[in-house]
Amino acid sequence: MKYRHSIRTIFQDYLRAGAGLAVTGVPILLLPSMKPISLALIVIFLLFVVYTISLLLKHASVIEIHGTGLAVCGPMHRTILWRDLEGLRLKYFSTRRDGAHGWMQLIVKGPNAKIRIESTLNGFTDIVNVAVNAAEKKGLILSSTTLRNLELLEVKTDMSTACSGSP
Amino acid sequence: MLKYLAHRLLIMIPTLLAISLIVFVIIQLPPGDYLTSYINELQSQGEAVDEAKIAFLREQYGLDKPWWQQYLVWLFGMLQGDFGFSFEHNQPVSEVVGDRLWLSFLVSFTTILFTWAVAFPIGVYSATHQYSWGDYSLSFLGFLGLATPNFLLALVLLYLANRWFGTSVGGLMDDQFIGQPWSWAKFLSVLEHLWVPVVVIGTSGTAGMIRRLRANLLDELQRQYVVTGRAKGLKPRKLLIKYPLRMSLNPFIADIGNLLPQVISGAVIVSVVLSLPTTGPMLLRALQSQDMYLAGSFLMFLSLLTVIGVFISDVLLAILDPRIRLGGGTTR
Repeated sequence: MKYRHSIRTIFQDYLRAGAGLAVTGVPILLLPSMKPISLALIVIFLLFVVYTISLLLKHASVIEIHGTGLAVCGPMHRTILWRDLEGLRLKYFSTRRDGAHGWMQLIVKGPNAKIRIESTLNGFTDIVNVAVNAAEKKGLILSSTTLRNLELLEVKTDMSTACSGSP
Repeated sequence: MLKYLAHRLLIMIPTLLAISLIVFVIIQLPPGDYLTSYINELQSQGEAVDEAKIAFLREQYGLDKPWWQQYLVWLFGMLQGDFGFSFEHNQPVSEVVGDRLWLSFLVSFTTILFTWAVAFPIGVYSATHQYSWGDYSLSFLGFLGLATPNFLLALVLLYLANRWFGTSVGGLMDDQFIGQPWSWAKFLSVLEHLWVPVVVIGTSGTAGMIRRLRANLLDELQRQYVVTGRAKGLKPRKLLIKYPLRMSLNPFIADIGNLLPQVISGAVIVSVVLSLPTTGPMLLRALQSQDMYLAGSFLMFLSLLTVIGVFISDVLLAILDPRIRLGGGTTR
């Protein structure tokens, strides 16, 4: 199965990156001389440059999932075989105080590579399901945070019942 | 994480713009301006007011322009590192503030370090030795610290130091170093005087933090996973540090946002009592005299500290515990 980010889902991120580059870049150009505020703006500007590059890479990448493993095809090609799976984490991020309107990030770790997939990808839950099954078959111990996030994503695991009451 | 940082930083920009507008509007709200306060002061002293000079000053300071124009000038000036002109001191704000800002930073960060260094071990001890003599004694001291106003503690320390040691503990350095360039001797003098404000300002924060850490840790220690860990033979110290202590730290990290500005703005009265050359008393005076650019720049600085503090605590929480909170949800 192949999964890719649609332009619609990634468009908002492009807008944010553009806004960040403009809001930090324009004052840097307007400032008459180097001041502490310029240094802070340059650091933030560089962060937005890296963010834009990561968005472009993400946009150009295709996630492939098959019986033997997971692969990212595109400019930064990486493959992790299920038999070599070393770790799996599911994180949740939200910029709001009430924790709403956030996004998830699945991190799959292999011996030589790490693949990060965001919930903005179509078919994210399917990928999480397959990866969690592979982790269970390998006998990997998932962190309490991952288990809690899986539970709320309605992905069933054998470990979630065993670890109830954990932090 | 990169996406989170980018989103979070983008939120900070409109927040700071909104704060700057609110600060400026609030400073403009009282009737009149710095010059009307100045005229009233002259008249109350029985001195003559030169109308031509006042009109000239009003034009020179830009007080004759509409408020939104004054705001835009101030805002764009700040972006270029120019915080405006202090009417009362007749100097640019950056020169008026001078060393005070760095001394405030020094007092604040030393206080935060002191608070954490004292509160952390005591909080852990109180929770792990609940209802012991040590717990009762430390809790008593904690309540005492919470109940004692900072300025009162400052007055008591001033009295005791003067009565018993015959020295004045006020100020942040010996008189001969005031207004002098920085030197090793001046630095040592600052360190010598620093302990008093740090103890005075830090005491109530320390007491509050001990109580919160104790309560959080007690909650965690009663959870099922701790019992399971103990039953499986995990060493008590490892079990404590690896899980419950880490979880009970979340409220501390979430509190960084409030801590940074609170330590500076909350120390105003103590700074007045102890004659500290920090930003607090200057802010108070600037607000009283409607020195709007000085007061506005201070308030913006405090707001910036709050926004940066909240940003740091959010990023640390996202790193330490990236889980869905109650009431949250995901979007695709």
